[in-house]
Amino acid sequence: MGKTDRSELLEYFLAEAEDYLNVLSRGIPELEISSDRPALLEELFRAAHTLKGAAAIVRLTVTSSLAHSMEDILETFKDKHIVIKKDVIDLLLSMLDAVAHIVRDISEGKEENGAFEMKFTEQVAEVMAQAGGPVDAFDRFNLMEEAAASTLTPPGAVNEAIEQPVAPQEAPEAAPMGGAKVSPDVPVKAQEAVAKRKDDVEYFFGNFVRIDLKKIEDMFNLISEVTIMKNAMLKKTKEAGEVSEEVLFAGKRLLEEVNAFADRHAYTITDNTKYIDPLFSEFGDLEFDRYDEQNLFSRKLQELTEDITEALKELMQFFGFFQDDIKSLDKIVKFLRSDLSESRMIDIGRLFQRFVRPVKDMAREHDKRVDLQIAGQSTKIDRVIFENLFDPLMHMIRNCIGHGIEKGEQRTKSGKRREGIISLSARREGINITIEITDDGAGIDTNKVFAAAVKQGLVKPDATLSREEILSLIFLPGFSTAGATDMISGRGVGMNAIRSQISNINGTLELSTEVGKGTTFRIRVPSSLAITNVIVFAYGAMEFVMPTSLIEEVVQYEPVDDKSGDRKESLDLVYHRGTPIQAKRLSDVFYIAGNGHEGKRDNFVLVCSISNKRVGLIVDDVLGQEEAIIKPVNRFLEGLSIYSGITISGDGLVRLVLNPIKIFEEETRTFLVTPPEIESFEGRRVLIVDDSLSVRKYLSTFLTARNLKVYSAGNGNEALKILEETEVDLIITDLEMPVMHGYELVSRLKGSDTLKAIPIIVLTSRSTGKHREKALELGADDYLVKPFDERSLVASLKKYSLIPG
Amino acid sequence: MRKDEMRDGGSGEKTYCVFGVGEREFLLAAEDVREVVDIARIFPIPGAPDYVYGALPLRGKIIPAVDLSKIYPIEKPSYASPKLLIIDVESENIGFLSETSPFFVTFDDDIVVDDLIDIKSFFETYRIKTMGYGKN
Repeated sequence: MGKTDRSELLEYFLAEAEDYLNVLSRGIPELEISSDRPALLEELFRAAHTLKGAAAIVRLTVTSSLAHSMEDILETFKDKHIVIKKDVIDLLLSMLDAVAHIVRDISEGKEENGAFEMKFTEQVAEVMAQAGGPVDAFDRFNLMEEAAASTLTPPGAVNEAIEQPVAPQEAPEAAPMGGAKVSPDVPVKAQEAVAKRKDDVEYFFGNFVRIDLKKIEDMFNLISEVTIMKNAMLKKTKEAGEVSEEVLFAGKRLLEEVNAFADRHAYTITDNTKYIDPLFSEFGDLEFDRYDEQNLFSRKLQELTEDITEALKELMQFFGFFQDDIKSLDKIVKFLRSDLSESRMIDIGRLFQRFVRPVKDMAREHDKRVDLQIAGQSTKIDRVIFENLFDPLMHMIRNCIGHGIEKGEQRTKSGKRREGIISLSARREGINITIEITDDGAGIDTNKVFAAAVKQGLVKPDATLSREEILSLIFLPGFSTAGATDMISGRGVGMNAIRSQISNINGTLELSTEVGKGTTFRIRVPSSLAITNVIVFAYGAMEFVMPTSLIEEVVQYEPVDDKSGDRKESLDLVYHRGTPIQAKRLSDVFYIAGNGHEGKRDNFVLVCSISNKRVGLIVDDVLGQEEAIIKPVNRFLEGLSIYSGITISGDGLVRLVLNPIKIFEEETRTFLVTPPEIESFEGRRVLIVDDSLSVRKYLSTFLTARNLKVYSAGNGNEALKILEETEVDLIITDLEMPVMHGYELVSRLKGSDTLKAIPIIVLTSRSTGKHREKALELGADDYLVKPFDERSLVASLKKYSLIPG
Repeated sequence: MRKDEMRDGGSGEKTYCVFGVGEREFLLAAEDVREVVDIARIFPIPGAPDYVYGALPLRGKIIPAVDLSKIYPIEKPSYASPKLLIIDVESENIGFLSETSPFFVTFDDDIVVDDLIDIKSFFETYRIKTMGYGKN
């Protein structure tokens, strides 16, 4: 154990010791008066016992020895149900003080003070003898003398401890006990000590506090809310900045116009000019500048426009600073999230250690010898993942011992060491943790796996499968090795369940094997469940995410022209690096087809490796990669197993987290076949054409709130440009607009073969019959007058099937 | 509107939250209703049964919105400006869509209330347990 390792372990010990010392400190005085003494003795015994073990692990032999003695005393009284006298309580308290003193020294970076070790030898022996406790307690002290001599306690420290018995003034926080001393020569009245202890004694070492995991989860939720709010602010600031730019641009144009106007009218004196000031009557036109109302107005307008432009520049500058501030906030939130995320992390070694004993026991049961080798213990992993890995790992280790590792004789015949090796290792790979369980056993014979699968009707006898595909059969639901255990080392049993457990924590499971050499199971899980790196992708108008840990590669969609008819109906074949792989559309998973997906193209394939088999998910678009806080699916929806969680995007969109393992391996096709009504309208597109920014914004908000995708244009010309590139389901247009007015737009649209089918709603402030008739005559489908009644617009949207009717 | 503001009713009385879907009114025990929110946007959940209209984010949590018109024989509601009643149930939150602004009424304990939704039993019955329709 290196120095750093020990100091880290000591920190854990201090946190733990604090708890146990406090349990003992509160409980020992209670022994005299407690109504439920057996339960209290049991609690104190456990505390002393655990303290002893914890101290031994960090090589605090004196502490461990003192805790052991306390444990012995408590155990004796626990088992024998005899009266505990005050002197015993005093002794226990004195020993506790000694331990507290040592632990405080440790927390201050000092070594253990060996002087305490022999302080209580005689008293403990006496108490044990009176109570009829184990004799070896006394012997142990003698043995400890040797150990004490070998501790690295500085000689001065020993003397100091001997000369200065522990008193409250010396260790006020550790043992404010009002006169209780470790020296048996100076006994303290138990009653005094008891009275004081009950109120005062609270040990505190190190820098640890225990926090309920739920509290951390709550903090995470709050941080995720802050993140969402921050992103929303960032987005709104950006939008406001864009509007400002637009206004600034308009302001500049206005200034130009005003300047030109002012230049034209600065000094023009028309024939009918009436002089404002008769004092200037003696000057001719060229002798003195004269200003009529128009001149003055133009100058005033010029000044005002300049003021506005200046103010807008300042506003732009403000947005710049504001955006910088939000970016700084973003960084701080990320740090906070990362720190909080780390607080949930645990060394995976603690998980691995749990297998040491079971491996020994299981090996003995199977009459085998197994050496468990552990590596990468300090790899940190999210607590939730930690807890969810125990069962799958235990299952795999059990299989390794039961079926993977051969019996000694067989191994010797094969030229292997008699003792089998199972290695358990962990390492961090980017944002993921890879855990490998490797045995040097018999390996898995793919021919036998194939035969078993054929026998169970899972594959056709004449199917041509690659080695990887055959191995993936082991993970199929329904694949069983019952009756064929010896053929494939029993690996198939429960592998589907194991993989399912791992997929629940967004992990993957693969295996590699070689007959006669052994098998390796490779689990890849994200290091943190709270913050996960995800790929965001779109299908139809919906956005989904998938953890990057589950995606091997994103490739362009390239279908295979498959005429063999072998493939399953629900699966497509696409090329991945020149090799055909099976792929699925999301529409086949939950029936999105025909619901806002028209006109969209399958552009990308997310290639996932699921239990040794590559498969692809066909999506419309990949929108990017980002860090997301994944929340568990609401319990009301938990049966929707294809979702492993839900995230909220920065701009408040709900994105479902897809679990590819459930998509590809639950081929039972029990998914819902009736599309929910709301989906059929999701993603319909509307083009708003209006020269007024306010109208565009208002309509955009109104329509977006109804799940419609909105495009905006400032005039007819811009609208036609948008329509060249984008398909829309409805056009809402104003009539009076610069560059190209609404009548011309309607006329052009209705004259176009490709665009004439798009319904057009005219939304104008002109309410006369003349305007209406002309619009309808040119081909407009509806005519609404501003300010429009929302119900009329909703009715029109329903009429053109843009929202549910 | 918050729960602590709604609850009144002395001993022997019980307060209910009344909300409307189509032509029908439903009641919920006032203490089950955490709050009522306006719906800005609702997100569909592909694969969910039709009575799950969608989900919406609310202070970092995702709340499934239940459309009772898909469960009870009700004429198709318009949901022109729907409200969502956020319900506390089984340490979770779900929402009920309402066409009307919910209000609260107080009755004597001994009055049997029609159209009262027992939220625990509703949750257990309609919770989605497997892929496919929820009532399974």
